[in-house]
Amino acid sequence: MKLKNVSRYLSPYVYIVPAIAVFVLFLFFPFIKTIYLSLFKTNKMGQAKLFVGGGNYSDLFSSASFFNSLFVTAIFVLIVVSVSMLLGLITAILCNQSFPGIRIFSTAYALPMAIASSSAAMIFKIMLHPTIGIINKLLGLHTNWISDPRYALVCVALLSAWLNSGINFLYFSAGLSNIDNTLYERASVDGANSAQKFFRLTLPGLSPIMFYTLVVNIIQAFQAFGQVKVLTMGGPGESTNLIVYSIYRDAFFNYRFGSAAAQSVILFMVIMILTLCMFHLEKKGVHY
Amino acid sequence: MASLSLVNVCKTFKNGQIAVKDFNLDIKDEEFLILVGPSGCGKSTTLRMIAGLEEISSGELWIDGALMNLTVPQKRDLAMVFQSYALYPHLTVYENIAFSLRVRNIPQIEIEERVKKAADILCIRHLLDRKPFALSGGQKQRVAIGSVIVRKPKAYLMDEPLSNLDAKLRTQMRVELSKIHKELGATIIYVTHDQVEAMTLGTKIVVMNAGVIQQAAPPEVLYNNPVNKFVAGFIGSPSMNFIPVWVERREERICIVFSNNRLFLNEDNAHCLIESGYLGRRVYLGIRPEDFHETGPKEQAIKLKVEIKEVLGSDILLHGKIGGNPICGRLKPDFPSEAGTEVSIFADMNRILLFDLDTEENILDH
Ligand SMILES: Nc1ncnc2c1ncn2[C@@H]1O[C@H](COP(=O)(O)OP(=O)(O)O)[C@@H](O)[C@H]1O
Ligand SMILES: [Mg+2]
Repeated sequence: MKLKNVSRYLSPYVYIVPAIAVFVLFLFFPFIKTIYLSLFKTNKMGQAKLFVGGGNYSDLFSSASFFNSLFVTAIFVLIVVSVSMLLGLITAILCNQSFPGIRIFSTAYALPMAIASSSAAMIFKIMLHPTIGIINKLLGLHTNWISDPRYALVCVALLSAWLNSGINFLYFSAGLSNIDNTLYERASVDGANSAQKFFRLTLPGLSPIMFYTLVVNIIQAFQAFGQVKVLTMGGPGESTNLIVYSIYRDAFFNYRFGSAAAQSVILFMVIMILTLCMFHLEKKGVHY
Repeated sequence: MASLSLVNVCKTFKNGQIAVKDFNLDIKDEEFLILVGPSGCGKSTTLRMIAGLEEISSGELWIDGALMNLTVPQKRDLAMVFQSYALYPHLTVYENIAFSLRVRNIPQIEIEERVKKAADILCIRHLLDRKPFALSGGQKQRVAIGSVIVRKPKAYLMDEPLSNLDAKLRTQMRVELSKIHKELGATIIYVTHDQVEAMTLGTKIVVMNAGVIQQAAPPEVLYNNPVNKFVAGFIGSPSMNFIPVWVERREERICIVFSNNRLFLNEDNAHCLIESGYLGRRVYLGIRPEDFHETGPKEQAIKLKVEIKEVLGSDILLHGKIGGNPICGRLKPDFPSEAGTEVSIFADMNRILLFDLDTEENILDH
């Protein structure tokens, strides 16, 4: 009797053990370990050696390089999110008609989703090459795009925006097909022109998915890595030293795992606070 | 307000479906025109062609003397109530009603005034701040009507606006619509599949079937003198009874004969039948349920075996069969009759209709 009770009490937990195990192993453990490491100085093997408390953090907040990373990341996120959402929106609206061959265009616009960021970066590197690159050929310039601190960040950002635009195209296409077509018919009879239909029907109709897309885009932009690694390696100077790349560099080039861990924790806080703010705003801003 | 004119209008869809064939109609200013017919007969398609939402395959649409075939909906100056209401889900009731005024950049003060007035007519003043998802079907429908009556367009188009309402609300809204028509002096083109709505609202009714106009006439004419069996059966509730009968001459009088019953025709009808050579041929007899009576001359009695008796309060409906044809009679509630018994009823011979067996056209053109 007693045994039966115990097994009945325990059995639900047995079922969730596999899922919990995976989470603990790949999510909670690294997360806790990161926080733990951020409080230590480490040796070259990444083992915690000397407890410094908030020392790594105070080092970071007095480091110009770290602030540069934050600043560069902010600009990068701003460009990537706005350009990729705009691209996704425009392409989705263009493809929201029916004419023969529309599928080809839809596929083309959704394609960046399927391309690995580092391979896209390789291709961009060739296209942006100062002497043999097609961009300079077409524009008739001799600009050294990725070695010039003025252009490097914009180049990386535009590449990332294009990469992210595929999934945005998909989100917005789904959003558009959710808007009832009779609403547009009514608007036509009501006398609304195309611009009025766009601003008074399409945009509000997209607002729920718009919010979701924005959150996903911001998180994705913060985590851009492959394209930076391949295209600029954080350079020239530190002009494209995004925070994720800076973490990578601190950990695997400078073997300062403590500092890298501290930066990770800060990045996590920034993304979390941003997301919470947006969810808070959503309650006020989004219709329906 | 305006007058409209449709000349030989046809609609063929891309898949080859012919929805409207050779539609000819003049709609006068301030007319309450009803398009009625069974589902799928092309009513909505006709309305949508007038609104400009559907391309006219061939034929002409004139509004106030101007050809409208190629004019975009925005420029036609019409207002339409959609069957599905088509309320903007992200806008409040107030903004839904104000939408057509806002896109025309009408000053805020005037918008306020017109929206309030429309809301008062439709008793939805207390709903102005709500979003559509928080409205019942009847309220949504009134908002949809409100959104069109704030405008003064050339004509109002309404596509089955009352179809989703319960019976009581529908009756109430019918009265409201009649009032609105009188108050605004509006030209209204109204689509319905409900013949009661058609009869009570319309100043002129167009009965359609399979994309073709059957008859366009005022309600009384449609009821008393339908051009064919389809219109006769469609208008009236319960619908007209049809019995195939022989036209014969007995005892120097013309009569119609069917399964042991024999009815003598009146002078005019007899004359008409002889003239058009129907003597000795088969025709359809049409009698409305309300044209059966409890009393009459002995030799005109019709024996009806009652299968079902429905008590409506003011009347009773007797359902039975005569020679395999289902028959329904509407009689006084005190008429002695029970299900399973046989009763004698009498047809008002001045109100019967006769239809050709093949063409189904009305033989007795009153
Ligand atoms: N877009 C379309 N493509 C093809 N056929 C259509 C289309 N819209 C309507 N139809 C057909 O045209 C006929 C008339 O439709 P409709 O005007 O909507 O009928 P209703 O009288 O019930 O309003 C129907 O048989 C319908 O199937
Ligand atoms: Mg319809």
